[in-house]
Amino acid sequence: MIWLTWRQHRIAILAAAAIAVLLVAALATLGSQTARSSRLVDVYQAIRTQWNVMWFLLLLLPLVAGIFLGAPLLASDFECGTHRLLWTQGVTRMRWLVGKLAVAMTAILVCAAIVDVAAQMAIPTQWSTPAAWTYANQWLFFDQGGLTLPAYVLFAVSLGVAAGAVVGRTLLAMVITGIVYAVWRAVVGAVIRPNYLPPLQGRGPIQQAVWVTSAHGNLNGGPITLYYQPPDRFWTFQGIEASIFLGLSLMLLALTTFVVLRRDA
Amino acid sequence: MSVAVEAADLGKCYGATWGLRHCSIQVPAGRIVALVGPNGAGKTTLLHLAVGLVQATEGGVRLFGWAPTEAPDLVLSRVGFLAQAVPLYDSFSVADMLQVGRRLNQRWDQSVAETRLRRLHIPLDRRVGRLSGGQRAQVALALALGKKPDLILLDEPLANLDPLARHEFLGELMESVSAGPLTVVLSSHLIGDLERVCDYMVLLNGGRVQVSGSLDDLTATHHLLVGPRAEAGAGMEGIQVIKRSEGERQATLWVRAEPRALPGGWQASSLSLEQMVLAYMANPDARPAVRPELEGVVP
Repeated sequence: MIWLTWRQHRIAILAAAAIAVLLVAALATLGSQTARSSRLVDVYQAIRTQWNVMWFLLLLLPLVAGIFLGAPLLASDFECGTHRLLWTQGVTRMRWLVGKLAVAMTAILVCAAIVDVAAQMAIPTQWSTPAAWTYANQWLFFDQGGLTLPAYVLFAVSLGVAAGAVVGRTLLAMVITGIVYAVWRAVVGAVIRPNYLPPLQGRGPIQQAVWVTSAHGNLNGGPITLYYQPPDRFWTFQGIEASIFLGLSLMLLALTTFVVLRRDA
Repeated sequence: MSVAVEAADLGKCYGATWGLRHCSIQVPAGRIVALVGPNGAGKTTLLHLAVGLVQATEGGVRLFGWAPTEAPDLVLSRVGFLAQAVPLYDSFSVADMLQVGRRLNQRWDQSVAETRLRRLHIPLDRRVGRLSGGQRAQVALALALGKKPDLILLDEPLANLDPLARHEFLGELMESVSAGPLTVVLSSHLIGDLERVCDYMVLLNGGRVQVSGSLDDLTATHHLLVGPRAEAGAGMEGIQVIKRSEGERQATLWVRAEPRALPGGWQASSLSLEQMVLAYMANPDARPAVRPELEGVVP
């Protein structure tokens, strides 16, 4: 199954590897440019656009993996009827599923881990000088964080695999994966994540790289109450969010197994 | 006589409708079986049940004594299956396709598969998507035969093939049959082709087995009777009428009966396989009251 999965999905796997290499190269360049700078604010503003683009690319990365590797992984066989060919060779459905998942997941998670390490080395999170903190807020890169990025990739690919197993058609599975992933990520970011731990309250400017989750007060002067998450909660939040997506991935893979074993071909 | 395929009260329900029900057949090993019936009769369902692609709702099916769902390894290593519409990977080369068979089967004879395709002038480095329909079917057949099966099930392999490609395909199949002990179950609408190669028939209609037996037995017991309309029904005990067509004076009956049981006063002639199949297909309710093996018991 290893050879077959590689032969069947080698374009997607090679593309994933190529994207990973390009991202690592771009991150290394961007990171060294940022680190070499003597006047942090100026340089950061000069390469701000590049960081914005990189922020966006890293945000999209799991989605692309889910759509182009996860969704077609099983659906392409179901769509062409080739699962009937494979399941009637000397291979059980379970071996087919495990083989496919093992190859695809290993490939994509290795790529994700390499990009992740490169990103964590390059992202300017350590600038805590007063002048720069508004730009170098670790929370700004929460979605690209050390634990969340691989967890999102695992989740997106599992979602694509499960969608492909359920609907059995590649294009439909890709669309479902894209929509469900985007909506769920938006819901998590906007509604669920701010409440992992109760926010702290503060008034006026806070001299820390915090994540302001909401503000209450009179905008025409008068005191404004800020609700925020402090910097020392960053890794706790990373851990909570990564666990949620890891758990969901396992549930999706369990669903996939159930569907594949029960499915009438 | 060992049994290659045995179904006992086999049934498969899709939602509210039965794709196949009360299917009981015994296919002796070594036979070349024609599986015929109108579209939606349950041919594909029966074949999919046999190789474990579909789970039975009731009853069961065994290949060489093993149920495909209980012992998939034992069954699948001995059985070749060619699914409808000949699914292959279009982006693979022919050699890659053989590689799939070699890597996914315990029993595999690479040289047999390669020799077969070379003899048919099918280039091993050509992409499957660029093969003709006939070549594609031949590659799928080589893949199914490469695992050296004791039984091969083919689901409408002749559909979409031109007459020459059909001829070559059946030729390849027959050569494998002559080369070793091989049981074949072949579903098709092309009765003429089936008659040429098959020696056993299973006819499905509306999800039920309407008739099954060896072609020799079937042709010996099916007759066309032409006689006076007034006498239709008289002296017909023990004769099963499959189809009747009555003119003003004459009646024509498609019947199943032992030759000695045929009534006098009727002009009897034998039925071709095609006539027989058409008569059964047009009359889904006509079915033998007894199993063909027990035919002799009938008075």
